[in-house]
Amino acid sequence: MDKHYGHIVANILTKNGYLISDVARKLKVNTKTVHNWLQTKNLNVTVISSIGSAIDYDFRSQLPEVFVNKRPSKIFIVDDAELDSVIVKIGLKQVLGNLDIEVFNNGDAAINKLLEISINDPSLFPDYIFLDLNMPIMGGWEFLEAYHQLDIDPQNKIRIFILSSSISSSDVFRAISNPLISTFLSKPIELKTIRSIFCGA
Amino acid sequence: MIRNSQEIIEAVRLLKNNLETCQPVSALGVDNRRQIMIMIEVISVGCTQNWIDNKYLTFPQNMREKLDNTEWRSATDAREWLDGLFDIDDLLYPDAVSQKSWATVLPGVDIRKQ
Repeated sequence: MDKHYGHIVANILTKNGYLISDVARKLKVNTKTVHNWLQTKNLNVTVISSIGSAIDYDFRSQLPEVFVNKRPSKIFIVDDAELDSVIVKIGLKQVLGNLDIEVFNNGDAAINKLLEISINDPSLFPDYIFLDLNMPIMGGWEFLEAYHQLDIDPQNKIRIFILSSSISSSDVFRAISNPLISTFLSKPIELKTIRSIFCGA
Repeated sequence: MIRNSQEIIEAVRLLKNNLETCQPVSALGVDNRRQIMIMIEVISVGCTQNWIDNKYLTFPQNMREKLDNTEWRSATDAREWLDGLFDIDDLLYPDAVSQKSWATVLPGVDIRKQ
């Protein structure tokens, strides 16, 4: 029998005493959005794990087939602010345990490293990149332009997240509109956000 | 359309206010303000579902379960409000909250010891 993921999530919310308004407030959406999710049969893994993070519930026991993401082994953090990089690194290690994290303090250093990998051994590409926008030498937007022009990852295996303190709606919309970017995340990033990204880890 | 002109005026007023006070980005990285602007347009003009589908759906997204298309979804929600299916409160986004403390960013972690 086909599972209705939305109904399964709704049942869990009810059992654990959560209202739609609670979930909406935690995920910063309107209640209609949550209502729509709970009516969706093939609710996507990002939404399910975000709801799970919001209510501190692991949906993997009910929906193991949804969480089939490969556990990441390598991550790049591209950010000139050392404290921000430390926070992301700590959060990633808390959620994912031991993994290879490389930090670059500007886009140019990261692009050069990616080019080197693409020439020598593309299997060493990172699984994810967390990219700040405002950096010296080469900022986030310039990095993405170079990344696209140089066709660094023709198979689109690397997922890129913008991680920025910017609250400019034009930055957010520009990020969401860019096909290279998975999503826009606000600084400082929270553990529950990291958990929702790496839902299968 | 079931809503009268007073209800529409009030709904647009509430949404415009929400545009100023809401969390700008959802936890899933969606631009909340963009969604509100779309809803204001649909409610102000009285856009039909056909108009919404033509504007926001692209082939092969004509199956109406494409919730990943947040713009289409917000426009459709606004259309459903016009049809009287739920209250305006269900379309409003939570207000922005004050700055986070380190305790909420990394609970249980003493950053000084890292």
